[in-house]
Amino acid sequence: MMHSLILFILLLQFPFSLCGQIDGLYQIAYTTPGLLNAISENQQQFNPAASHSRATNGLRFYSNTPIQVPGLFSGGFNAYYKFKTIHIYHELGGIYHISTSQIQTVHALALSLYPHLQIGIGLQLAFYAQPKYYGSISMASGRFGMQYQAAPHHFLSFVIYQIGQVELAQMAMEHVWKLDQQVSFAQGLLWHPPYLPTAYISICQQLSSVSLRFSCGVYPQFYSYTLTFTSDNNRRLTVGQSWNKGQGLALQLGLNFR
Amino acid sequence: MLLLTLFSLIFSCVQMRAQIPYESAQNLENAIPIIRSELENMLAQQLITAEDSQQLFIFFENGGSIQNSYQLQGLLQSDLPTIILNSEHFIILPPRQHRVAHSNLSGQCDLVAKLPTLLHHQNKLLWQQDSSHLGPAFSFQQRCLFFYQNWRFGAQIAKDAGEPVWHQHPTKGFDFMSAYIAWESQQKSNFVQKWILGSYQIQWGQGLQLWSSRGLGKSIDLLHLARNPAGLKPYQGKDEQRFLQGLALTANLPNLELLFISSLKRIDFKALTDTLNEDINLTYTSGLHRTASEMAKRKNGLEQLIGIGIRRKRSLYQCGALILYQHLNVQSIIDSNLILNPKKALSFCSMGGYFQGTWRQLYGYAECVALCSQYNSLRQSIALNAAFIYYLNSKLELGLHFRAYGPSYQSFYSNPISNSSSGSNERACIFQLKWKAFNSLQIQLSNEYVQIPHALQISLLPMSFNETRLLWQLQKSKTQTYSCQLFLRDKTTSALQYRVAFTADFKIEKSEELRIVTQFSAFSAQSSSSKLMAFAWRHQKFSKPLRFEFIFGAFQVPPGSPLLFTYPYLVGFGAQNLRLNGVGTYRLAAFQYTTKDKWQFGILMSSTHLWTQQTSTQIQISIRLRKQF
Repeated sequence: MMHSLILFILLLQFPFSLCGQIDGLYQIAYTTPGLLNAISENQQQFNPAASHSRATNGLRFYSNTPIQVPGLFSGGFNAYYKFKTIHIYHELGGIYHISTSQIQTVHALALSLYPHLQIGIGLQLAFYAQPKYYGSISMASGRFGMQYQAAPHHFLSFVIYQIGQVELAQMAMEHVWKLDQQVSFAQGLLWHPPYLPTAYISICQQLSSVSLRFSCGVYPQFYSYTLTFTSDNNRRLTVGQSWNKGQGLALQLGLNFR
Repeated sequence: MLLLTLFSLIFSCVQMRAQIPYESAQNLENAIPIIRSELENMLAQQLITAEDSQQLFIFFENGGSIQNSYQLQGLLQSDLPTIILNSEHFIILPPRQHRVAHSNLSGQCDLVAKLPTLLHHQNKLLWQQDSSHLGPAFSFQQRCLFFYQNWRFGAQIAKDAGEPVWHQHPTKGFDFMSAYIAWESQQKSNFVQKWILGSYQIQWGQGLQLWSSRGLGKSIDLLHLARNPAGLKPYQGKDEQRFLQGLALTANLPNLELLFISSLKRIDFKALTDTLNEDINLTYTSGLHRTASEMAKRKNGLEQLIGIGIRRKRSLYQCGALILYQHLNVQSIIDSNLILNPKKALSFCSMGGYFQGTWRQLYGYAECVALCSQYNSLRQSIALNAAFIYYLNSKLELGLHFRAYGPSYQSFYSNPISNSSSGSNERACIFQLKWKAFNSLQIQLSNEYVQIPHALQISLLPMSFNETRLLWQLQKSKTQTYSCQLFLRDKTTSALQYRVAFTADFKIEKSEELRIVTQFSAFSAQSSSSKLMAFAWRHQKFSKPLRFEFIFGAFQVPPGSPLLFTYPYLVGFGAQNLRLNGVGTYRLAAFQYTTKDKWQFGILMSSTHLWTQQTSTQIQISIRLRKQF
């Protein structure tokens, strides 16, 4: 029964996960890879350590809709703020389908141990329900992340997801090279061991009021791009589209208040 | 012992970079001698990195000793300014001065215990117990070591998981016990310089004739192409097979050193039919006595060794000769194949000689051993190896090693540069190159061609293969090191195997180190491949009693793909050997706490999760307690 439920969870999250990697990383589909390091924005959604010294408070809404899977939708909101020297992050989100649903909440803390090293820990609570067949299951797991600025323009991060749920354990690492003030390049790996590792590259360009991010990778083949429009009063609107082999196109939408 | 000193001297002269003072330590009272037993202390005080510690450990295991600060430049991976900075805390003494007389009784006691493996399966936590094992599922090792004046005494008892604590047959006692008493002269003029009664290790020549400790494998590093025999030393390790037991001594003759060894030891006898593997010596078993069949082999052979050697050591060269008689008396079941196999003898005498020396920028060594046995012809019982290392200029070093081991050559305790520890039936040549392309980039190449010329067993047909290793090491700064190693093995009997390993090391602060490791390996004929990704975080702050380390790794080794190995070096527990097979993740956490009154407590927790049909997690806990007095 336990394994059936795990399979069910995997199936549920699969359309939202970027490349067939599991964990509740449906968030990744919401934007794109290249976000494990906080270069200009808080990224504790993906890496509990990835807080940014200049983006200390914010509220974000996001949604993701795979077009080719009817009736499937994910969304949620998160908030982050700074308390003394600790960056705190909360998230509430879920996946909905007519036959099944998932609700999860994530809470993370990030702390700067040294000037160039940040570590973060997170707690994820998830509730999966498919009342007509499997019933429901609740799961608690941890997250651990690190972000290290190896050089003025080079950032490295490493994250372990689903600590405590060994069947779902996943790890990710990423390197970001900030080519100049406008352009950054990222390369990374995501891996849940029963699958092939996913390798990706991502490039991001910041223009005056718009930033563009394009990512692609294997396995499976995928690409995604997002456009983020920034208004004068720190509101940000993100729209994007992703495609991966197997699930097809997905649309993404996000709104961020800082 | 002088070998690497000479290397480094030449190396330093050629490169004109002799920047480290000879006697570095300013304050001799507080300085730490660079010897094996102080490695942990040096690591704890952050005078060397974990990698450098491991490098020095291998160096000392190979019999090396630090006699000159220049050697450190060649040995350590740290950059020169760091070595110079830290060398203020080191003291480098001539080897004779290492013999510090302990006026009062001093020593240390160690207890290492590993609890039975816990199995987490279907939400249940169970002690894992193999029903075929006859003993309890925990392991322990208790060691005590005492120094008093010129005397040294050591004893230990140990058992492995699944072995009975106490045995009744064939001899009563703990599963493994060893002890020794040793005396060492402080005066070079004394005739007897050192003697040991009990368990001891001996390293001679290049390991072709007598080298009782285990091998450390072939290395891409030129420095490891040559071995430096440590001679005679007491033994207190956990290995139940690779040591000698009896009386051994070294004595001074005019311009010569005399070595006498004798050993009488009950050993586990492993007949060839048990393994069909030429890699394992005639008398060399795993040392495990868990099951009825393993216990049946326990101490059923009586091994005798007696030998006399002589060697001459000078600053630029050393040479020696050894006559060794080895005899095995099997007391119980004798394998009929063994008796009929004319290639293996139970009683034989070997005579060997070696030379190693330096001439200008060239270092070379050679060792030749001949076996005298009634069963085999002399021509087939000769083993020879030789090597030359040439320092072409400051950026390029070349090495060449060749060996020819006869099919009938054998030795109970050989351990030469070889693909097997037996050192027989093999011809090979190694070419190595070390190129310092830039100050920050070093490239090393090693190419080996091996031929197994004779079919001694059904399972091992004549074959040949070649191995290539290519290593790039980029040290961008003293806080960042990247290395990438490519390995290719082309075997006539199987598909091409290739492996790529990438390692990135970051030293965040003096107390924090991060490491990221990835490995990829595959056979060319198969579509599946093996993969490993791991992350390590070590915290060891100077002057703080608590140190810890975490490692998380994930691996994917599908059936038919090459196995993966990783050797993490853990705080307080040293190098661990992990053999990865299947699909899963592993976690290691080590903690060490040292009190002011020299108590040291360590705990190591490891868990491995495998995705199989019966998905399960194995959890192991080890504890270590040490008291120095």
